[in-house]
Amino acid sequence: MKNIIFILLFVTLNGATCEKEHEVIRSFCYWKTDLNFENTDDSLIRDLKVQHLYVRFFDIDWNPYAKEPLPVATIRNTSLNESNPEITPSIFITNEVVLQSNKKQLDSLAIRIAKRVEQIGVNINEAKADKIANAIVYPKDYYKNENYKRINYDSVKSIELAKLKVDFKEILIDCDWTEKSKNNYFYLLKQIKKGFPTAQVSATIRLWQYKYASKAGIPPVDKGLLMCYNLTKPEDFKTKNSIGTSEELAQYIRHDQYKLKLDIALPLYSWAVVFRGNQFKGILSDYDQLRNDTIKLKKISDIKYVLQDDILVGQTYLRNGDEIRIEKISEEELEKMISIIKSKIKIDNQTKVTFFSFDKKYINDYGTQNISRYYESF
Amino acid sequence: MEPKIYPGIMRVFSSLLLVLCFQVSFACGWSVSPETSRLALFKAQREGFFKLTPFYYSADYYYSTNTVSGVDQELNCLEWKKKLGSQIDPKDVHTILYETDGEQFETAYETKSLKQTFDKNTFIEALLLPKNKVFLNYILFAKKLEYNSNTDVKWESWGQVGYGSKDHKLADITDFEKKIKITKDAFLKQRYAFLMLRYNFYAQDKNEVIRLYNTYFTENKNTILEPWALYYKALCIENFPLQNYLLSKVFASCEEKSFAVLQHYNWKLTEETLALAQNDEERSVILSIESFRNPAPDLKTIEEVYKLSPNSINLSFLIGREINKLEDWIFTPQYTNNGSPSVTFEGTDWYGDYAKAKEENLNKDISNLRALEYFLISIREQTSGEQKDYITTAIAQLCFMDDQIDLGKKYTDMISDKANASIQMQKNIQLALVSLKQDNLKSEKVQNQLFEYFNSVENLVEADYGLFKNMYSLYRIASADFAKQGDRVTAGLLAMKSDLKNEGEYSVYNNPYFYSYIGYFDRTATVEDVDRLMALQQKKDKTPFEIYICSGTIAPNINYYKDLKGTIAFRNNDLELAYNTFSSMPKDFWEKNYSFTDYLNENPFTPKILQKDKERKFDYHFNKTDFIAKLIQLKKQNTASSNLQLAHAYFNVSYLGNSWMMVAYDWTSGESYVDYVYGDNTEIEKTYQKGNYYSLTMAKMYYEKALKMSKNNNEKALASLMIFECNYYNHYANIVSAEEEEKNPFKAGKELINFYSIYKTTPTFRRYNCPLLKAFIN
Repeated sequence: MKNIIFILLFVTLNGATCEKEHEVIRSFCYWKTDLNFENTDDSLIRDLKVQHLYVRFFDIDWNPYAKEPLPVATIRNTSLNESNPEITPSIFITNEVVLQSNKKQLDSLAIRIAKRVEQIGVNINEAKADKIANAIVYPKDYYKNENYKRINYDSVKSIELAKLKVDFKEILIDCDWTEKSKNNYFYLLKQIKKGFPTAQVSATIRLWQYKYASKAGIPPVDKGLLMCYNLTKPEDFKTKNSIGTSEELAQYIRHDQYKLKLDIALPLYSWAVVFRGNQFKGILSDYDQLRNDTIKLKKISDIKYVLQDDILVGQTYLRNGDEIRIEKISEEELEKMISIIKSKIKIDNQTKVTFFSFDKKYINDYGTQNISRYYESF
Repeated sequence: MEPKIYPGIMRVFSSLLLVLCFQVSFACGWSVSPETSRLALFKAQREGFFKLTPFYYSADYYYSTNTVSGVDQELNCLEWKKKLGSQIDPKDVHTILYETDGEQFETAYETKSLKQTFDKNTFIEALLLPKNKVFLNYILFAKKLEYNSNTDVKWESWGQVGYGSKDHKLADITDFEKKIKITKDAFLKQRYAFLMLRYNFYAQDKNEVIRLYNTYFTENKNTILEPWALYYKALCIENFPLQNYLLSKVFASCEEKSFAVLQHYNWKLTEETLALAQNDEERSVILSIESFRNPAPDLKTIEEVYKLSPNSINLSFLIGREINKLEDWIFTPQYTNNGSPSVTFEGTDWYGDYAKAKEENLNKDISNLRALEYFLISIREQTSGEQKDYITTAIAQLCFMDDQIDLGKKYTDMISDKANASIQMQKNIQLALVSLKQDNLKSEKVQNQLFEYFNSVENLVEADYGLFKNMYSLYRIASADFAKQGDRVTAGLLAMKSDLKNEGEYSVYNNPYFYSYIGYFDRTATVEDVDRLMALQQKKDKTPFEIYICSGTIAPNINYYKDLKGTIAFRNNDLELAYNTFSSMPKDFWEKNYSFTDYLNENPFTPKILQKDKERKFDYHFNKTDFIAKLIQLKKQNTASSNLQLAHAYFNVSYLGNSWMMVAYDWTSGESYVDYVYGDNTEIEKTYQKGNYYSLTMAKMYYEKALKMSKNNNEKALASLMIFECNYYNHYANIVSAEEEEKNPFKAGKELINFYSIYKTTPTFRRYNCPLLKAFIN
């Protein structure tokens, strides 16, 4: 039973829409391994009035040889150029780590996480100090100035660096924990909390963990970040859009009983998926060329195409009747999703609303005005 | 030298389309991949199939395999044994060469603790003999070299932020050539040359790789290192047809590189590559390689390979692969999701088109199937031995797929008794199919014979995890056949068995839990079926077949089934049966099981729709028996106020209410993971309680009754308001788009007009009237 009009009317009749809107904290997720902002990134941050970034600092995976959790894919080049949003270090921990580690390893993992976050924090400050020192030592057009006298770069930098403190207000831990790993994970979270006495610790909450809170448990943290996307995997034909639809979101966010203050993460990306009947066949990384083949491909809606013949594309045998679906959450859908979230989850001026993820391609695709409007509609 | 099978899954990305397990670190939700739901019954094998395992047909990614061939490594270990003496156990060589981390070996050497670290390892013992020092030095060098060429590992260290592995001692590579030259022993010389060759390959010194191969491997090919070295040489050749040709030689002469050869093979150069081949055997290997990745029908290549090498393993494998394709295209839609797309398409036109396309595809597949079948029949007599049995079982399989049961049986009977275990197993699967299609499945004898067939597959599974797929498929087909003969109990247990055998994991729910025991029956069973199921659960002297279908599938707690029976009775409005069933269960059952306390925790006699969120309390002690007893009592009273209470209760047991879990185990079908397992349930849910679950039919009936009987204006106001709500939600229950809504807008009836006129002075009106509601009066 998928009926969005109906769900929204239900919400309306329950009187939940009378609440006023909030000035939420505007945020984005930055999930790449290289953080090296350019002027174009700065202007996106400025135009969107982004105040906050969740930045993936590193992942932790289980090393089967060393039999211990080790860091992988640590972020490089932590330079934010002219931008200065508040940063929440984010650490992705594989479920395997939590399942395999013993208590002692979890204890030391928590300490190591704190230390590594601090080190990366220092690196970020170093990049900032470099930027400032550079501007001081080499002012604009300094080479045209006959009286220019170069001061010592290193000493300027060390003074500037001393002014900057590593002082994160929040640390985000991301792990798709299961019933089986719950106890270990929650223990780890408690240990992590000890490593950050002055910061809040938050954890990502996937929608199934929200819906089945009694099974998944509530993590012992200060806040949760509810990830309102990837509701179904792309394999699922029954959904219009695997990144997320408002209808499906409504099925997951049924209750308002979650015992943790929640921030909100929304999707901002797109891809193309192939189906045979109701069966997922794959993800097309390069669909533009195929999309232009009007003989073999029939357009049936803005986002859907149907093949008219069997064709072998690369190593994949696509068949007559296969459907190719371009997935992107429409602007209208995002607004509906926001309504549903607001109907069940308490939003206030401290709530962070974050988009996954910060990428020029997707931001320009949606347009900064639209994205600003989404923030405003909270 | 038995190949080992590992349960891990190896996946390789295909170039143009990424059709793989999809990984986004944020992913969540439930689904099964097409490879999980794909049906495959044909898994007959010939000796030597093992290295081809990665090329079995797969539904959504190519080269999926759960096997890693260790044959080449074992050959290498044997070469070491031959060199250092017969006292050496090749397993010990394997431990050191392939299972020991370079760091561990290096540390043990540096701390002079090799003997202690690798206690009782015969290879280490031999290496530590003074006369073997040159061999020990070689191993140490090789271990260190692993780090030289592998600095780009994903692992980082906690000690530093940034890339780069731990601080290892790297091998000294400055005097590589000298090392080879001063080594007198030919065995070691070739091994150093191989290390240097591989090192140069990663250092991208192509000429040096080719030179080293030509210098040290052209003459002495009597080692497994030769095809490995040839592989690296081939990749350094810039002439693509020649590269292909050399790769095909590597493919034919070792196991380990078969996977890698296919990755590097250059496609669309068939003619040029074939032109380099020296004989028919080489030509047949090249054509086979070209076909191992082909996901489309490819009888043409099979015919050509047959002409070149009629007895080859590759030919058999390609035939099996072709059958697996046909099984996927024909069986999978037939036995999953009840054979029709369980989808609501946005436009009916497209649905029509797809149904047509599906039929066209099926016709095409059947015609391909027959072409393959006729070809195999035409060559069968010319083949012999294992190849003949293999082809016979392949023909039989194609006959069964085409519903030619008798002809299939004829070929099955032709399979010789001396056929290998894998072909015998295929024969048993086929005999099971014959029985499922032709026999009376209620007969105990038939059932026990089926058990024997099932068991013959089970017996081989330990040696080949790939057979789980066959069991999954066989039980799925068996379940459908039992259901066809009206035995929903066996059908349900077999369906669960099928899911258990499936390699797919349903996220966190891969262990059986409450609903997995009743899911199939929730959607299909009658109360009588549940009675039969309970009788089977309680039965003391089960037949072998019953023991088999019950193991891992039957609920450990009989009350799971009682709860289902009571729920079905309630759905059917049989309150007496529901009461009797629930009252025979422990009173605290609903507090201790499933998610009952999460969803049955509010007062069912206060309509949820009239409560504001903050007014809702979730502390109601809900007991199904008491609830049904109260309904029976209210029905007997038949007063205005009892009917009003009944109406509230029926409102709340609809999916809009606060006690929907009295009627359903999952709120609404269409999204949840159970739909992946048991299929969409929306149409069945629509029939619960004469349509009350979605359309509030019973709630409305009782509100109307209350309205008619009541003399109290406040009661009448409440009944009127709720009739309006019932009409409203009933109207929107079947509207799924804004366009439909536009064509068929909701119109409020007289109840709302009365609510705003006759009853406007009642407390109910004062409490619930609002501008939004008034807007419905035009």
